[in-house]
Amino acid sequence: MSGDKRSAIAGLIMAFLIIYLGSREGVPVGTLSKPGTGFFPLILGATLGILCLMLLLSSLGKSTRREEKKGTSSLGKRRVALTFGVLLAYGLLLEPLGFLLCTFFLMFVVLKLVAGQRWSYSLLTSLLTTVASYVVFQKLLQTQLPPGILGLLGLY
Amino acid sequence: MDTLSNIGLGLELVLRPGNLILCFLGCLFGTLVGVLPGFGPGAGVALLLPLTFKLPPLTGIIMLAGIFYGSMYGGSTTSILVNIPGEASSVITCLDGYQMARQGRAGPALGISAFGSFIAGTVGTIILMFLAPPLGELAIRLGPPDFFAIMVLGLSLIAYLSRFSVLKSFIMAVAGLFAGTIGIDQISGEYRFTYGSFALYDGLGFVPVAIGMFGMAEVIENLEGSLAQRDIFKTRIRGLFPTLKDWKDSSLPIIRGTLIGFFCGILPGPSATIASFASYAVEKKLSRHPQLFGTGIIEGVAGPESANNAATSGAFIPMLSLGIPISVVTAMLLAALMIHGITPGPFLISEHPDIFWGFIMSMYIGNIMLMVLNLPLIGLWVQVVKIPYTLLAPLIILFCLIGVYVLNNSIGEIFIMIFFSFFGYVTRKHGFEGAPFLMGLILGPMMEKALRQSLLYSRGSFSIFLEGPICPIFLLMAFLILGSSILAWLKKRKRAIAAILSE
Repeated sequence: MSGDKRSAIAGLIMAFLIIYLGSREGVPVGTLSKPGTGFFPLILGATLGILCLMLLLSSLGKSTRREEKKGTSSLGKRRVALTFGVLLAYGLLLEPLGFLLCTFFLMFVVLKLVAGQRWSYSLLTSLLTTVASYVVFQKLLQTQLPPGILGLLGLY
Repeated sequence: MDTLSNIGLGLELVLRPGNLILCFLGCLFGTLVGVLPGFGPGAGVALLLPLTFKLPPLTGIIMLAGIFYGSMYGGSTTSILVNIPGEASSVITCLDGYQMARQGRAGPALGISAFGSFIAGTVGTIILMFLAPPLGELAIRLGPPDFFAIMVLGLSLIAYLSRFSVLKSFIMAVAGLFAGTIGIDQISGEYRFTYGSFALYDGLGFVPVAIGMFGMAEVIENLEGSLAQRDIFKTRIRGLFPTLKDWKDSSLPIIRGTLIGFFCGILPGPSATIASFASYAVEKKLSRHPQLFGTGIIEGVAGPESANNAATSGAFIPMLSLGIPISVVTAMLLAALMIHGITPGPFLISEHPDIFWGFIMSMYIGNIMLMVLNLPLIGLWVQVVKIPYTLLAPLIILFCLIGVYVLNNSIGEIFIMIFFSFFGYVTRKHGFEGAPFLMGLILGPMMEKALRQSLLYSRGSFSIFLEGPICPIFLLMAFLILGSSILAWLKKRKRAIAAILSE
């Protein structure tokens, strides 16, 4: 399937969802003289549907081969997947583990596994950036970063 | 005189140490953003946007605007020295700028682009200063239908001027408008599409979405490619001051570039880029020796570099006088003001003269700072290009995460950002642009309010959109744009269908 066809279908699903959810959630469409909460979303859902149909139609004639050429290396894909993985982990663990541990972990994974740096360089750089960002944001700019378990141990 | 006392007020505000320092920091950071390839002004402003919420509103936008026009100064440096444009708006500068560097004339090329940028930035600010107040007064008389029409035209232009597929840009704009409806309904006060999530009650935050789609998605896309170190052309820079002949050759291109740039800047979309290309084309056309363009002549640097700077001033016109942002960066500046409860729009100049005039005066000061800053620091900027991306990328990721978290100390915002970095990455891969989506997100609530208010006034009749000169003219223009894109699309379809049938 070509990329355009995929995105058109994804867009169509979204358009249906907008119209369906809008009608279900009890957001009244209202009338033209008294447009309600669901009025604008309904127009947008319909417009999106039409535009995505146009995209779907124009993608039908295209050959898929030409587009696949742009595909990236498996190494690149692995890097992207790893980055998103570590980002999600950061979001999930930030409050339980705290800023210091999570940031060190994030920097280390990105430097060592995504960017493929040496062990010693990755460890040292992660340590330095974690400490530096802690000093700048927590101490100088007085923002509240989550202390996590280090806070419970009284080490924060 | 009124203007004079306002200028005095603005100047007095800018010259306060706090504002002066942040103006300087904004310009410095902007130049850095401009120098770094693969890190644009949109991402740079998004990154520092959360920081401004702790600052007074004027100080905040002074700094953010400094990033915007500062990046235009920085973009040219790498174009000239290493043939890598720091920004899309400096792509054209590579043509003659890099050739000049190879002939040992890197100094004058850098010099003229700094002086040209300075002249254009200053003249652009002067035009802005005299044009925005009368336009704002005119805008007070506009009603909801007029604002609706202006926004429809703005969004259509953004999609139409997109670098990639017009159809895809329209899809992104509509998706963005929908994303803008999430949260509380401004008219009825009801919640919609929130599904009990606290993070969505106030609507999708502009900052996490912007940082996700611009900052993070850009970094992740770059991480996907080759991470090998780039080659850097070694050159010695001698004498930054252009000769008398250089000045003679570039004075007219600078003047024309300034005017072209300013008026391109008012248009929505990637106006600084368009302005630089337009200026190059005009110079080549008017030149007595067009065949020399691309071989390293100074006109090819002076014109476009002036144009992209003047475009940044032009871009502030719709934002300051109408309250309608037409580019991603001005939308972010608008968001910075709105966080402080200041609604930009026709009343901004009369209700918050301190903000308006302080902002204008900061642009004069900023341009002076940038010129002084740029020339002696060129050596430093060349070193910056040598920072490996393998170090830069994790740092940008970390700053994005911290920046989003400290907004409300909420994990929810981090997940919104991660979602939109994924969305931004996937849509980029499929040839969709992020800018129309972001514009839709910020214009969505304004547009909905204008549309529903118009219909309420007219009791459901669409004839209200045909009243007054502004609304019908703007809607007609939007329809022409839409019509011409649909016609072009149908034509292409017809050929494709014919091709399939004849097979």
